[in-house]
Amino acid sequence: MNILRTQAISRRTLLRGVGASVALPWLEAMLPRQVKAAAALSRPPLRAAFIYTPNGYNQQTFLPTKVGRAFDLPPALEPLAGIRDEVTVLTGLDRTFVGGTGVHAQCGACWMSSSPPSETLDGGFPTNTTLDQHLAKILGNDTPLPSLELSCNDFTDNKETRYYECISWVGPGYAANVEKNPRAVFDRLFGRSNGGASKSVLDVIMADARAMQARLGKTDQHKLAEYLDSVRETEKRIELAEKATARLKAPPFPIPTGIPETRSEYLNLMADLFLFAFQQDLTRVVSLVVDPERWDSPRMFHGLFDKPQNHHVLTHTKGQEARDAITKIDRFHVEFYASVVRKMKAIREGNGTLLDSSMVVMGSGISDGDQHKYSNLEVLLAGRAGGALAPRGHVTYAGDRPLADLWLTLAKTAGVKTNRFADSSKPLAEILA
Amino acid sequence: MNLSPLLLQKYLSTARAVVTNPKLPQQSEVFRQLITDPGAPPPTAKGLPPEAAGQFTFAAVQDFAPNLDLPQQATRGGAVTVTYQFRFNVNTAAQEGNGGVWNAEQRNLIVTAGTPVRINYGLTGQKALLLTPQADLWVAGFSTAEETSGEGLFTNHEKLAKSLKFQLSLADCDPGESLTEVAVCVLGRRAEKGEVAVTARFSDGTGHTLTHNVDGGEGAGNTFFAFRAPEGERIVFLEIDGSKFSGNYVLMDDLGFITTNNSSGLTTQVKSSMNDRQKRQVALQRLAEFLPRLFRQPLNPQTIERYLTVYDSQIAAKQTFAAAMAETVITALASPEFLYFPSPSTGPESVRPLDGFELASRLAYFLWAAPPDENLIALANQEALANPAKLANEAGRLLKDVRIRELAESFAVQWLRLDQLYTAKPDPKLFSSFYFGQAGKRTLHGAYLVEALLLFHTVVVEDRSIMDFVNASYTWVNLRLMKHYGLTEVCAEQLKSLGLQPNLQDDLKAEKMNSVWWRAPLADRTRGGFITMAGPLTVTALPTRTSPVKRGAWLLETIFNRPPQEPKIAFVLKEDEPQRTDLLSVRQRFEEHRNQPSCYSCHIRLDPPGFALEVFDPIGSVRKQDHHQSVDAHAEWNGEPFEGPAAFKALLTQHPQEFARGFIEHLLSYAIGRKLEIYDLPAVDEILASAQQANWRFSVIVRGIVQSYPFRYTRTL
Repeated sequence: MNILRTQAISRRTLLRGVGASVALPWLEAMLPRQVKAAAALSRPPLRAAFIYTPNGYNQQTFLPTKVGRAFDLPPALEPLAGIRDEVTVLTGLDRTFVGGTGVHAQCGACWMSSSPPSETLDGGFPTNTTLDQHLAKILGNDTPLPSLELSCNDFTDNKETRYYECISWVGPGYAANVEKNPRAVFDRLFGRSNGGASKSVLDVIMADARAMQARLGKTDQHKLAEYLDSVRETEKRIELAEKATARLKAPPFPIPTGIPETRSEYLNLMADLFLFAFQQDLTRVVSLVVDPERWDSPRMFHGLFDKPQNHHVLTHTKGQEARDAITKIDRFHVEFYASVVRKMKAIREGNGTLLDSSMVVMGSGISDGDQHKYSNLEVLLAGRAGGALAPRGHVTYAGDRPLADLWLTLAKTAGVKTNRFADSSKPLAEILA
Repeated sequence: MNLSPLLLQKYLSTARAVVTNPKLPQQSEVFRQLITDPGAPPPTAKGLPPEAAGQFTFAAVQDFAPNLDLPQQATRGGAVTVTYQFRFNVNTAAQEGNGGVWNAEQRNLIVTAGTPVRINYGLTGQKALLLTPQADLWVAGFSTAEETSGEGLFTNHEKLAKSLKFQLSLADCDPGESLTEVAVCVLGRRAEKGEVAVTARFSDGTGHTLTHNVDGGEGAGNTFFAFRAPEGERIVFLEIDGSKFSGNYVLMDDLGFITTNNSSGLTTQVKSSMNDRQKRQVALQRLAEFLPRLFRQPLNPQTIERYLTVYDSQIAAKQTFAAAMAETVITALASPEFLYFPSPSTGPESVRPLDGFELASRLAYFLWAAPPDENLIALANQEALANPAKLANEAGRLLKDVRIRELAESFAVQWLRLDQLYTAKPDPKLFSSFYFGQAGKRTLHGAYLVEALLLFHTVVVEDRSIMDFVNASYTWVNLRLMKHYGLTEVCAEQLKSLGLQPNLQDDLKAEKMNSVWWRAPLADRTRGGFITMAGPLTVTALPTRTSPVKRGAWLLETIFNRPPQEPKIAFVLKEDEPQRTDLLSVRQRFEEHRNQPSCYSCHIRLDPPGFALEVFDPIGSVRKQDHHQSVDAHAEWNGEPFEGPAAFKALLTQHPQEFARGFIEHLLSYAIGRKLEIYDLPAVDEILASAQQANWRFSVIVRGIVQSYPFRYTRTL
């Protein structure tokens, strides 16, 4: 009898119960009782998601007029209505444009690095290590994937360079490996593409390294130690991935076949994939490019317009019609953001929700798209980061207040030991709990 | 370089991608021999198969429709590729052995229905595309049409039978190879017109139809139709519907085709006459030969055995012999023995001579950026390289080998900072001549790079004086660079003898003409040498203006290897201050700065070379004015006044040791893979002295370097 009661729920039972939905804490439900009790005591890990939208926002329909918790919802922000107590709308943050590169080229590429002109190392681009990659070093140690970089840029014409479509940079000029195809993301999460490493390969190169180590002088030994560390780290990742794969037998949703047809299906599938990765603790840091900068290819926003729209061209088009179209696109992206936040709020975890132990950010590298303004940026922030952050409604900053101050605040919250991030001045005290 | 875990993982997946690439067994003899199952039947020595009765055989060519000027492309129905792309792709494919073009070069040939035309392609011409017409086909020349290549075309033989269908298949091809891209030209014909539809049918039963009105008459009506199979499918039929085209015939020429191979063949099961134990023995033998070559030194049996365990684990997992061997190669590519040049300590002494294998590697990586060849390994085995004279002889041999090209690409690019050339982005509005082609997407970066590398390579290959680097009497140009430098008159003779036309409208042909480079004589030494070459001048400029300081610093570091110190005080040159109404040239703004006492000591050395180069704008063109003022290019160097770059370079060559020393230091540092220290300076002095006696010939410097103490010894701490 006892045995029956302590048995964990089988995956199959759960699957039947929830269909294709991800919104269930099934990792926790899987745990045997004793472990579950222990899990309740230890806090869930911090998770971070960064969502990027291109070409700025229509300033007339994105900026609330009232500040504080009782802020108003202008047309583009209306989708936040159901979760207004969970979000902070930050306005008036600034980034310094670095001369010498295209006005759009560094919007996304340098959004999360926020590096000032004095820090450019990549042929004029301030693409230094971005916030998500800093966080991955802290939060990504115990997960099979240190971080996940996603993009819903399915344009196949290479109209623009990677600077227009990469927001995550490992270091100067070194973009993180972005997945655009949900199928590839799926394969990565389920360990079906192991890259190049396998255990037998690693065993041999490790033995080679040890044999070499013995014949080297001290300086060279130091250099080789780095190699050994990297092999060990890779071994650890493989072990973690194997464990995770053993844990996950059947995914709770159908295997994606490729890129879904409509915009919202594509975005939502990517979101479901990373939320699933969060829940399963496959990774704790994710970045998602909703669309690349500029890229003058018309894009179909299904259900919003009858014909394909060119977001970038719209930002430079005079007249109310174009402005209304941008508002519609902004609103569509805010709705996507709101749906991610709602889903995270619905996922129970420990004593709270996934949202409680996360920070979810959405923004663009410029504010006004027509003028390519790098000042007065808008950022949406949700999640309490395990109690470190608190939603404050609309918070606005007058004068020069670096966007890097927000990144510094989030970095410190995640445990990065630093008092400076790019050109930051001081943390944003207003958003701390 | 730092090897982070992420980099290692990326490296491993790249190694896997390289080793499992389907093209590797075709292109690498060594790899093919390594992975071939020893028990597999030897490949039958295939001569060309006997010609079937009535079958015609052609050899595929590389150029698709060379006569197709400003081509028209059939786009009704959705184009998959544009002409120049297809031309480029099919050319590459032909060179790599997976495609080609049938140019239908025959004056009068009738192919009967159902008989395949065989078009041989592939690296050895073994593979073939079979084109089987379902009605009689006529290969001929037509005086009422202009062929897109040569003088032959193909058409329907029976009058008015203008609907043609071809079956397309591959013969004697590689396992897993399939036909994925086809393009064909439909020709205009004098006094005839009408719509022509071409359809490609794919293996999944679907098809793609393109239509075009072929109305322009002979030549001008020529139209290009291109098709690509959906992913995973192949092209099986090509149908031409010329029923709406007037006249008796529908004319075609240049059938280009590209194949794809998604299977590396590594997992293909082969019949083997050997059992697992025998195969394992062969695997061990092959590894014992292969791994020492890869790791550039003899290996102990334990190391070889270790790699056999990789093989074993693959065989245990039911993998093929080929896949198991491939796995050992992936492993070896990630081994520290391959990635590093270890410098083992052999005793209590911190400095020791390099052994023969280490010297062989050091020499080969210095001059070829490649592993040592068999000759070097043989000499290492004979312990002959410890003799400096022998080592210098080998250096001489390597200098004469074609692989010496790598020295330009590896050393010169770094030395001259040309690795940063492509990050230089001159302002497109101010310097529009830097950009050309469709929507200004193409740039002069490539031409600039080639010019510099050719000068370096010329000095190496012709064993000239390194003073050419500073002040050469010639420079390499193509049409574009010739015009950029204003050398059109100087080059008139050469243009004629090379048959080049400077002002072609057709982008494609112009592109082809621009791949021809020649040596232009320079009477005026404003050009000549790296200092006044457009590439370095562009690398050291900002997008909108020149920077004498950047140019000066580049010169001190690159040419003299005496880099300036970092500024001791912070200073920012404010860009385009809006309140400023007086127009100052860049030079005047720098002088304002230099005249501050705290800045003077550095800038007195930094600025003069930069000022001399002020006659060049940010893209390296000669200019007379900067900010509406005449350019002022006078300055002083080593106490001697000069005006302009030619005079500056003449001053430099009057004291050749200054440049030669800097160059020798750079090259020695590259050769030994570390920074020079104070104790290396006597060696530099020796090399300098011997080079001076030999009139600064390049080979003498290289011989001096490889015979020097720092090259032949290592220090382990």
